[in-house]
Amino acid sequence: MEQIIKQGAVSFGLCSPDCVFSDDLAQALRIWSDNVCADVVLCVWSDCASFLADGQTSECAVLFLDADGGEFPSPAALRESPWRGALLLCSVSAHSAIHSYVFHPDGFVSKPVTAAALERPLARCFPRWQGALRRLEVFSERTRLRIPMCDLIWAEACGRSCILHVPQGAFPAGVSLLELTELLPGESFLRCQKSFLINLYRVRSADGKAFRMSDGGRVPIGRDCRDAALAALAAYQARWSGKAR
Amino acid sequence: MQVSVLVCDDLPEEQAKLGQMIQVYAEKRGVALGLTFFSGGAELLDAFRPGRFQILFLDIYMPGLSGMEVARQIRKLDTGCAIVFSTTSQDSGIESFEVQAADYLVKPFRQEDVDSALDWCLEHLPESPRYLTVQSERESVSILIQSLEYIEITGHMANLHTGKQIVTAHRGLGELQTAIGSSDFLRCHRSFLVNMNHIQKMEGNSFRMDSGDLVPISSTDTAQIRERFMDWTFVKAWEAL
Repeated sequence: MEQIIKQGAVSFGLCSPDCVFSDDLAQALRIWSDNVCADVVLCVWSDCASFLADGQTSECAVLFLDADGGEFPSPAALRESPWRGALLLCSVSAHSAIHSYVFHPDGFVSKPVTAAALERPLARCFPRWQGALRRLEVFSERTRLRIPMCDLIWAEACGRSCILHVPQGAFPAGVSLLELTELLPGESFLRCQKSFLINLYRVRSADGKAFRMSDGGRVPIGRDCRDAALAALAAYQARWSGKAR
Repeated sequence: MQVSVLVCDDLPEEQAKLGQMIQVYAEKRGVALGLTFFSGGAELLDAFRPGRFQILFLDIYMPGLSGMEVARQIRKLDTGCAIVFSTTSQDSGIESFEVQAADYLVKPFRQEDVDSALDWCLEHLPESPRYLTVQSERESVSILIQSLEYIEITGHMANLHTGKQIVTAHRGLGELQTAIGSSDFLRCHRSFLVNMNHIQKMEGNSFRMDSGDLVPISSTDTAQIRERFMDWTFVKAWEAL
């Protein structure tokens, strides 16, 4: 039985007195988590002192700390707290970035924040939020595979089953392309031809006839859905880079 | 063990000042630090080899290549070394995170700033390359663990495949797996231990290795082994971003 496995949402935190930035980060994080097919929740504190005073801090896997507003905590206060997650400093200024080295953060997020800008800093603390990834469970040659959904690059129909292309190779899966399409989130996956499904996150380029995928695969675009498919990719990329919300 | 530290600054007096602070640190902490000086980015890149230097102090404003450009080139070759910017420039703070700098010291800095940067770098030095030593035909052979592709047991002998050579040793697979002690190695079959860094792809019930060899996957644990390999590659892919 093919299914999506939800392992439970992972908590991220933000310390910022700035409501506009909180909203922007929440929005960017939503787009990022849609794209990587991860379940995360964001909790917001107005400053780091409230975060450290909160008894739930140990559950926070990744903390975004706004370096442009409010009181900055002392490095010692963070070190001595029970919290052991990844720290990402957020700021608009190069000077704050330099100052943030006293914390040796896991990464730095430059403002204005976009989903694309979150990608690299969050990749560097991947082990902290790995559990948030949604997985697709499929049977392949009588063995069960649990593939992180964002690892699926593209899929092609093969009779009543399909072939899944992931970075580790290609596998036959005992699920039809239609069933697969229904299992995957529509924000990131697109049926671009009767026999092909692509992960928009893994598209490297597109021309009028095909998508070039991250594994080098060339996936044809159906003649009847060409305009819609290219428009879906453009909308997806605009959302990702923050040019559209 | 001596740690190699590099200072790259176009001004000789700045080189000397920082070099002196590093010497003071080494004496205070009782650590052996080897110092090398460069006065330009091109000269440094010519001499640079992955693993040769563990800690790099880079000025940013230099004639020719800037320190930031040098750091970008170095990161393509070596992801393990610690880069500390030592500069008057306060404009490159955001870019410094792109090259995963360990610290950013703005001139004029104090001895304690250098101490704190070096403390952090030394605490976070990557593990040195490890070797596995085995007896093969009455000779002791040391194999760089990262160069091992896979180990195959035939009879009572272990064949250690590196891609360039096969070393035969009278050792058990479990014992070798313990000696290697790396989560990059996967027991994919009763008679095979595979280094996942050298797997090109899965082909049916086998792994295709960099050398082109096929290593079988145990038919009884196929699902579990595939899942472990997929999870491992997934983590590696994210870390490489």
